[in-house]
Amino acid sequence: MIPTALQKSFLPLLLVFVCNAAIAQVIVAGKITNKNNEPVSNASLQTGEIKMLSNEEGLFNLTLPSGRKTIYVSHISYHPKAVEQVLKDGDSVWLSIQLQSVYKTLQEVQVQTSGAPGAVGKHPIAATIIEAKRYYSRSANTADIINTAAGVRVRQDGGLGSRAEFSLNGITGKGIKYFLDGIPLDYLGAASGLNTLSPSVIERIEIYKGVVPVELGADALGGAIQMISRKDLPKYLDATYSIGSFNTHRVSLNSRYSLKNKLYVAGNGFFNYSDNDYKVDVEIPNASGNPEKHRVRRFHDKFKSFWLNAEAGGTQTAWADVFGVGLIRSGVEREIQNNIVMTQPYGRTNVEENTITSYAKWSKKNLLRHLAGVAYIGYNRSNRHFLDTSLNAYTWDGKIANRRFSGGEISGSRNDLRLHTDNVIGRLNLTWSKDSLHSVNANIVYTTYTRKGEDAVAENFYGKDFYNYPTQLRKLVTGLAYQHLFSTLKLTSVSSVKAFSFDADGFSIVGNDIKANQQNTLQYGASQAFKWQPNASFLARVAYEYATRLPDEYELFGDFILVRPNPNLTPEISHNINTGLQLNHPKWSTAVSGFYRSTDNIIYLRSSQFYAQYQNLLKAKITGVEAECTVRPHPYFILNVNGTYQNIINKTSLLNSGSPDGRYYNLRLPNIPYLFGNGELSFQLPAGKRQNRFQWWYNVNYVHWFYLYWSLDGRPDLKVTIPSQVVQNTGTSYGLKNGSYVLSAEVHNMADVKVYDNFSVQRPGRSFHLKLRAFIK
Amino acid sequence: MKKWNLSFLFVAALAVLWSCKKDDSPTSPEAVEINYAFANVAGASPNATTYVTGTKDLNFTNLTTGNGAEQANFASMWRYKQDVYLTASGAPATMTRYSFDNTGKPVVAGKLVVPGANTFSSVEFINDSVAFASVGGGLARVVRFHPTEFRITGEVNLTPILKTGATSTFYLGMKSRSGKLFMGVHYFNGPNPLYDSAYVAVIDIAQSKVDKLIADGRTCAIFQSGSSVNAFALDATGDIYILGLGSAKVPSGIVRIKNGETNFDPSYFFDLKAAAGKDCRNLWHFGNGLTFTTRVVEPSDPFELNGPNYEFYKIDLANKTSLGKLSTLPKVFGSSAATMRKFDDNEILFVVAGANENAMYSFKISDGSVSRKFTMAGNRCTGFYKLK
Repeated sequence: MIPTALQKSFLPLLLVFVCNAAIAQVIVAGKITNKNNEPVSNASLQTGEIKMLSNEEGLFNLTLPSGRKTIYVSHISYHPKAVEQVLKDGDSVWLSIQLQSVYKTLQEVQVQTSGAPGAVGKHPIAATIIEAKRYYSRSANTADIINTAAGVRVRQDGGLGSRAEFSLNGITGKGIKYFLDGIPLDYLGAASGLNTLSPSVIERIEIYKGVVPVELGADALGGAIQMISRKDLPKYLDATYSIGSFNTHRVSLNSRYSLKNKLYVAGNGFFNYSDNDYKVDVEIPNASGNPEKHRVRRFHDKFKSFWLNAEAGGTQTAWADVFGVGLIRSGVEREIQNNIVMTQPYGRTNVEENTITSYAKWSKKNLLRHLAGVAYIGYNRSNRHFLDTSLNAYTWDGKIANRRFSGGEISGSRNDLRLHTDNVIGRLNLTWSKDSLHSVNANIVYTTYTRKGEDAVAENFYGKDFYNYPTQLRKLVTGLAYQHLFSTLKLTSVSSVKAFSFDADGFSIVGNDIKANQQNTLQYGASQAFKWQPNASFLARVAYEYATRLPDEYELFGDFILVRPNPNLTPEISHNINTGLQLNHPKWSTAVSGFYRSTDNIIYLRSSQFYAQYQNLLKAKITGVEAECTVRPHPYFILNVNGTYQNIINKTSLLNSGSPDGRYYNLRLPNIPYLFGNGELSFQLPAGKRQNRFQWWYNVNYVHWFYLYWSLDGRPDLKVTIPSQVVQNTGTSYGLKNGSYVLSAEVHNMADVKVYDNFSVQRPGRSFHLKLRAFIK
Repeated sequence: MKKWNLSFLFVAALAVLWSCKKDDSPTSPEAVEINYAFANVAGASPNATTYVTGTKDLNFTNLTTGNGAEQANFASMWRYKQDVYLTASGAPATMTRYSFDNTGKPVVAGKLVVPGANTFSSVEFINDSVAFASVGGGLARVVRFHPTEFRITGEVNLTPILKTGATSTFYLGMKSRSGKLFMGVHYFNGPNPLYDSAYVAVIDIAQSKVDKLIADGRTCAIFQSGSSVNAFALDATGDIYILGLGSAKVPSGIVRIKNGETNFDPSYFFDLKAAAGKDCRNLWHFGNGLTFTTRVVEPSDPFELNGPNYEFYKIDLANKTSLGKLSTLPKVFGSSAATMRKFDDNEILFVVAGANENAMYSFKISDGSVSRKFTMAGNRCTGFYKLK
C-alpha cells in the first residue's frame, strides 16, 4: 500500500503526464518549501491571470501556455520570489521552489534536537523568531533588532555599546537568560552582550517568553533569548563595513570553507567603534552655582568592541556528524560618561574587558538507535579592568570644575580594579525519538565560575584588598522533556522537569575579619505545553512553567564593602502561563498571545543610610496581551505591526514593601513601560534578469509614557514621568548580483526627537549610516 | 427659499452653540496660605522618593502626598523663612528652593549646583544674605551662599583640616553662634574611624575661614545630618551640645561647647551608652529640661538594614541621666527619620516612622503624655517645619 503522503507527492506528477497527453499546453507542477525543506502551504502562485495556492504539502500545478513565463510566488511569511521559465509545447515541468523566511515570522520554533541539519522539529513552546539575515545589510545591533519584537522592550542608556536591559512580557534583568547555540552568553566573555554582538554572526534569534525549552539549560525566570550562529553555506565569504554619525564604524567578516564536505574551517568576527558624541540637553552651573541649559556633545563616551572566532572541524564522519574546535578572542573598551540619571558627567572613568575562549563541540544524529547527541565543552578567561582614580569633577562642557581630595568619579574609594574570571562550561544534550510521535530530550549544563582580583587603590582606602579573595560558583542545570504527538487530535504535548542547583564559596567581612562563606541551593522547575494545529492555517497554544532564578554571586556575597552578604537569599520563582492563537493566510497572518506571570522572592537591593543588601522583596502579578499582524497587500510590500500591553501589579507583602501601609498593594509597578508597539513597512522589488535588488523600509517604535514613581503619590502636574516616545527610522538598499554586493543607507531617529528609555538619560538623536556588504559564495 | 432655510439653520446652530458655550470666565482657585511644610518618603520597594507638601495648619487626621512635589531622588529638607530647600542625594550636589504659591502648590524658585559633590550634607542659614552648606563626596569646602538671591557667594576652604591617613572625610551637622559656625567633622580610614575622637571645625562666619579644628576623645563620630536627624543642640544659655555616635572603643555621648568658648568643655561629658544602656543617636533640646535622643535596640544593625531599630528616650542633659523610654512607642528609623519640633509651649511634635506607621506624635509638655496627632502617607517623614 502506498503511503498517503507518497500518493499526494506523486499526484501532481501524475497530473502532469495525464494533462500533457490530453492537451497541447504546458503543465507546470512542483513543490514549495522553506529552507528547512518543510512544505509551504497556501503560497500564492501567479502568472498573468492564472493564480493558485499550494496545498498542505506545498504542492501545486498550473496549466500554462507555452512561452517565457514568470511565476510570482508569495506567502505572508516568506520573501516573494519570481521564477522565470521558458515553456515549450508538450513539455512537463517540475519546479522545486524554496522560499526565504521574512525577518520575523509567526512560525513555530525550530528546536535543535541534535544539531545536525534537517534534525529539526516543530515545538509547542511559542517563541518569536527573527531571521537575522534581513539585517546583514542594515546598521543595527542585535539589541535593536530584538527591540522590534512583540512583548519585548530593550532599554538602553546611550549610544552604541551602552548598557541594555531586556524585558520579556514584563520580567526584566537577570530573570532573562541569553544563549548562543545553547551556550549561555555569560560564558562567552566580552563583546558577546546583545548590545555589542553583531547580527552578522547570527542566523536567527529565538525569543522565548516565559516558558523555556529544556535545551536551554539555565535558571531563566521570565524567558530566554537564543542566537543561532550562521551555518548558511559550505563555502562563503561575507564582509560588511558601515560608517555612521558620531564617528561610528562597524566591520564584520564571516566565512566558511568546506573541503569535500568532510573538513571545514570557519571564521567570523566584528569590530565596532563609536565616539558616541551625540548632542544632549544638559544643565551647567554658572559662576553663581545656578544651572543654565546648554546643548553639548557627549565628551567621554567612546566605545570599542571586537570579536574574532576561528573554528575548524569535520563533518559526516563515522563518529560525528559535526565536530569542531575553536578559539574566540574578544574585547570591549568603554568610557563611562555619566551617572545613572545623567546628571553628573565623568571625564576619566572607563572599563575594559578581554576574553579568550576555547571550545570543542560535537554532534551525532545516530549515536545509537533513535538517539542523537550534542556536546559542548568550553573554557574562558576574562580580564576586566575598571579604572576610576581621577580626582577631577567635570561639568557637561568637558571642563574640570572642581578637584576632590578623595573619592573617584563613581566610587568613594577610587578603583584600579582588575578582575580575573575563569569559566568552564560543559553541555550535553541527548534526544531519543523512536518515531515522529514520541521524543525524549535530556539536557545537562554544568558551569564553574572563579573570580579573583586586585585593586591597590581600593586596598589603600580600605586597608585590605578584598578583591584578592577568590569567589567560586558552581552551577548544575538539568532538564528532561517528553514530547508526544497525538496524531488523531493533531495535538502535541511537551512535558518537562528541571533541576537547578548551585554551591558557592565566598567570604564576608565581619568587623575587620574575613570569614569564609559557603552557600548552596537546590530548586526544581517544571513545565507543560500543548499545541493544537488542526490545519495549516490555524494554531493554538497553551503553556505553563514553574520557573526559577538562582541568586548570583554578587547578590549572595555583596561587594564586601557597602553591599553586605545575605546568606538567607532564596531563589526567585515564577508561575508563567502563555496562551496563543495564530492564523495564517496567503496574504496576511496574525497572532494574539496572552501571558500571566506570578513572581515571588524577586531580589532587589535594599539600601540604608550607609549599607545595602540584596533581599527577597518583590512579589508581582503580570498579565498582558501582545498581538502581531503581518500583511502583504502586494507581492512587493510587507507591513508588520505589533503591540503589547502589560499590567504589572504589585503583590508585595506589607513586611517587604518598605511601606507601613498597604496602599501600594495591587497598584501598577512604576518605571516599567506598559504599552508599546512597533511597525514596519518594507518594499522589495524582486530580482530581475540581472538579479539586482532594491529594498526600502520604514519603521516606527512607540512607547507610551509612564511614571517613574507610584501613580498615587504627588500632584499630577509635578510628577516625574518618562515621556512617550515615537522613534522613526528608514533605510534603503540596492543589491547587485543577487545580493552579492549591497549598498544601504539609513536614517535613524528621523524626526530627531529626544529619546529616553530611562528617566533623564538621553539617547542619540538623528543619525545617518552607510553600509557596504560583499557576499561571495 | 433654500437659502433662507440654510441661513435659518446656521443661525440656529450658532444659538445652540452659544447656549452650550462653557462658562470660561476666569475663576481663580481659592487662595491657600501655607504655614507648614513636610517632606515624606513614599513608595514601596524599590520605587520610593521624597514628596514636599505644604499645609495651612495641622488640623487634619491624615496627610497625603497628593498635593506634593515629587523629587527625582531622595532629598532632605531645610527651611528659611517662608521657603524650603531640598538637598537631593546623588551627584552633582543640588539644592532646590521651593516656594508655595497662593494655591498651595510647591513651585521651584531656583537651584544651586556644585559639580563633583554628591550632596549638600548640612545647611545653616545665618541671615537673609548669608548661609552655609557643606558638601559630601570629597570636596574640601563649605559653600557660602546668599539665601535671598540664591546664588553662591564664596566658600570656606577646608584643606587646613584634612588629615593624613583619612581615606574620606565627612562634614555633617552645623550650628552657628556668635559669629562662629561649628561643623561636625568625621574622618574615615576605610570603613573605620581614623581616630576614635569627635571633631568639630570652628569657622569664622565673617571671614569664611576655618579658625581651628577641635577634638574630644571621650566620644567619636559626629556623623549624622539632614533634616531628619540631628546631632547639634543650642540651649537657652548659648551652650552647644553635640552628640557623637561612638565607636567600638568609645561610647556614644554628648560633649559641650560653652557659650563664648570655641573649645570642648572638659568638665562635661554625658556617657549616653552608660546612661541608656546602649548607643544612641540624635539629640533634641527644647529647654526646661526637655531633651530627647533615640537609643538603638539591636546594636548589630545600627543602620537599620532590617527595619526600624531605635526607640525614643528622654534624657537629662544637666544630670547626665536617662529618664527612660518614651511611652510605649514602636521602634522607629532613628538613623534616617526621627525628627522633633517645638512650635509652641504646649507640645513637642515628633515623627514616629516605624514598620507599621508613619505618623506625627505629640508630646504634651504639661504632663508628658504621648499621643498620635495625625498619620502621614508614605514610609517616613524626613522633615517638617513651620514656615515663618
